[in-house]
Amino acid sequence: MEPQFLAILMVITLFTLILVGVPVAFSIVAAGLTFGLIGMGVDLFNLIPARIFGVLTNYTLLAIPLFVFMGVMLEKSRLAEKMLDVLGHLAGRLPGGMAIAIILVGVLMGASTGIVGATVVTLSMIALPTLLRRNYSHSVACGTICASGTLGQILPPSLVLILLADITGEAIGPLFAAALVPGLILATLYVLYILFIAWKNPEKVPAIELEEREQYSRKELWIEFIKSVAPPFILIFAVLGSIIGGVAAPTEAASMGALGALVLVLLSKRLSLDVLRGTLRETLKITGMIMFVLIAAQIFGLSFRGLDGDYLIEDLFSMIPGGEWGAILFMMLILLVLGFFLEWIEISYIVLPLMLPIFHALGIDMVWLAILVALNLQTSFLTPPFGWSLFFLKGVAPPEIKTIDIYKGVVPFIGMQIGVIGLVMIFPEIALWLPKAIGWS
Amino acid sequence: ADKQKFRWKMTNAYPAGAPFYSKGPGSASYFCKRIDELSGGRLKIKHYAAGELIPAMEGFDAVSKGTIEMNWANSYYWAGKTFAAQYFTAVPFGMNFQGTNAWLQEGGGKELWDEVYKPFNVIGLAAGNTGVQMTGWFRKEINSVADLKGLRMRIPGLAGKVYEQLGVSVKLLPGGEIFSALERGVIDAAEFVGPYQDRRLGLQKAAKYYYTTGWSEPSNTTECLINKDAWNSLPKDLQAIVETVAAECNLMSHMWSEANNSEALDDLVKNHGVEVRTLPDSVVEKLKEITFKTFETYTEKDPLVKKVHESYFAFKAKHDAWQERSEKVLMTKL
Amino acid sequence: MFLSSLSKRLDAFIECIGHLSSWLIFMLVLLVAGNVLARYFFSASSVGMQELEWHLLAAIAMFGSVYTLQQGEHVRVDLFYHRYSQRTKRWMDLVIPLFIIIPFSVFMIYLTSDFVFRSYDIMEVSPDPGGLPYRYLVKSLLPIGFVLIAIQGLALFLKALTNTKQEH
Ligand code: NA
Ligand code: NA
Repeated sequence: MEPQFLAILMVITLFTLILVGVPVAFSIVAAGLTFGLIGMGVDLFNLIPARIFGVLTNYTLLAIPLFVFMGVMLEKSRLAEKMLDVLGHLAGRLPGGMAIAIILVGVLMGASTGIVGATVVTLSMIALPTLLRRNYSHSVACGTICASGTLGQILPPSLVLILLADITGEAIGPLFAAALVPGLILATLYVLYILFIAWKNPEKVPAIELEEREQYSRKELWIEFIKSVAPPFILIFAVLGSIIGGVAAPTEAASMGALGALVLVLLSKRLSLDVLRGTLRETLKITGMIMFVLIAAQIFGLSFRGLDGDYLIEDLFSMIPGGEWGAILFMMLILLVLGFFLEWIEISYIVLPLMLPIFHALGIDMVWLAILVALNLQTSFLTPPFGWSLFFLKGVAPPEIKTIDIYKGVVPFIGMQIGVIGLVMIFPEIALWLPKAIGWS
Repeated sequence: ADKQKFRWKMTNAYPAGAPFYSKGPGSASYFCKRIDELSGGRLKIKHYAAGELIPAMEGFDAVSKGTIEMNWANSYYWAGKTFAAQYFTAVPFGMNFQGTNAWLQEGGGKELWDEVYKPFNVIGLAAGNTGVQMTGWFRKEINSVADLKGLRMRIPGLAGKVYEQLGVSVKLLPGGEIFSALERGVIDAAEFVGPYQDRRLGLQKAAKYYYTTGWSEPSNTTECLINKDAWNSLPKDLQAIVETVAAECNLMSHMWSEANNSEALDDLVKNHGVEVRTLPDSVVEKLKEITFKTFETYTEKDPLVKKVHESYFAFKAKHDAWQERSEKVLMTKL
Repeated sequence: MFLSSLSKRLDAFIECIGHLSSWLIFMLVLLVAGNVLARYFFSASSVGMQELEWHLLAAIAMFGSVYTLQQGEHVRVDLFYHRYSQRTKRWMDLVIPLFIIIPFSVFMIYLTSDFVFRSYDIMEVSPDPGGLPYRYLVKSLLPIGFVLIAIQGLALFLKALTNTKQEH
């Protein structure tokens, strides 16, 4: 049998196993091992230990457990809860005020941590019951929470950007800088969308009732504001400040954030052995989940190359008309479609490395491409049927929330995402301006 | 003649885009293409950049085991497996391009290289050379040994160990992170390669003083590593083609470096405000003293290291005497 | 009965390893932050301490993979899965460890052991002078991790087996 035919069969088997419901990491392993052994025998698999060792000892990936620790610590400290309450009250009688508060909390938490699960779960648990009590439209409430929870993936620091830095071979600093402006544009669009609904259909996003608003005086509110909004700012400062201020390399800055979170929780007198133990176990679980997919991807990737699948991808791209724009649009489309049912880590580590050499050869700016991919992956968190955000929200939502509410709610946000992707494609300066201004490229 | 066809794989310690190592004259991809042409397609070597089949630093084991037939790297990456490998890439206070290659070819260097690699079932061929490298980029001037104390520097390998003994705090960083670390002051100094490669990283925007010349790497040999069984399976004519193309790459890559480095350094000085400096004699003397003390700790432990070390520096002494009366006169008097 | 209790014991053993190794993350936070602060404030650094950072990462990754499996946290697409009958789900729980997890980890144990022995034979050390010796120790995390994954796979298989038996 032609090896390339086996490569195609392997990909089909992978998707079948995933859709059947075999855990993704084991689908990757099973498809990769089976077809690799059929096509190339045991010999080439002798390279697997070196490949796995390369993942385990990767300096860039060191940031993952550190950032995850920071995020979980912040989640366990319940700071987000307070933040949302205060911001919601500050919005006063403005319809949609709570939704805007959620977006702002998403920006702050996302910018300081960057774990989509933690943010969405926290936002859902603290905000969803309140929104429902205030008669928010189910779909607007769900859409806002999911979308805000994913903002952390594009706002630096973020795990997506860290993995993309590793895959493209770019430094983390410029990638962080390049992602900032597109991320803020997205957040602004989200807010404008909520304001638009507040204007057209105020009954979908009612303001907080007067009597509830009067619980806090204006002064109390601002004191609370400082107490609850300051901590995430301190973390952002700890991370980005230590990079810009020259204290730490970007990978090391994660340790400043982790230490900062620890100090913060200690100062707020919420640090106990139980909290620490819980944080460490949760961090180990999330890190293990990510690292195991990367380990599994080593097997699939080796088989795919061993079966000359890389030629297959080259041929595929050479058939696409439209030169470099054709190739970029085609890649974005593939990523978006894969994002409907694949996880971002798999997409990043299995699909991207196969396509990147083509873009390297075309001489395309890798920072720009990485931001496009990051926006695309971030969109994939929102795309039904399988997106982390939807998944996590459904997991903690009360039973009156139907899956269809969530799906309907995220559609406008997906639209905005695609809009921003288009903008960054047409005007690369949106992403590339800041790293240039800092002097990083 | 034997018309058997061979399909080999070659991995590379450097990424796909790397000039000199992965693409361009005398690089790994050039090497594979030339062998294909010269052998009339009888020996086809598929080139994989770092990370495509295996991570950058894992080529040695793969070739030693025979899973991969060839690997493109520098032998000093394998110093953790056998320290003597250090001598076949670059030796601090060692020889330049001419001296290194004269030692390898005529001074018994190649035979020692084979001896060092014998237990691993591999052989190494010299297949490239960066020529003389640079001391590195410094944010502050170095006027005395005391200026080195407390300096934070990116410098891997043996040179790092030497600097460390002078109070330098050594930071390990991958190539891609050097620029932002130097620019932001995470480190105060960094060594990478030479003007052309350093300019690609943008180091001139991060530090003003560019110190010459590379005491730690007076030349740097690229290694084409070959599995011995695979090598023995090749008919004589194909072996000859591989050796010839390796020699061609050794020369071509060096010519490429000479041309590009002279252009790049000129550009750095004229258009980027870079100031080229030489280390003060007192600093060089101290570095030299510590370097040889450090060598001693290794030659005492391992007789093979001692043997290679003595051969190398005995040859260097003879070659220096000749250079003193030839090249040096050419450079200074004519 | 015996199989069920064996399964529980294996599972508890792996969980215990997970809990213990979670403290490696705390060590990593302190180590990396300590290296940064020591360099910044005292211009002090050690190549060995910097290498220890990714040695810890290797341990966290391997033990974390096992712990995630034990906690049942490996992500799956539930597009069709959530509509399956209990019976079908049980069959999947039986088939996945038997045909994927266990054979895969046994093959990995075989491959990675050779990787460790080669390193041990030549007493490989860090290629950077001042780096950590005994490189075979960090490399041996690979086979150790896969042995633990195989054990957890066995526990999952036995659990599914006793569940299916009870059903009949
Ligand atoms: Na983030
Ligand atoms: Na998705």
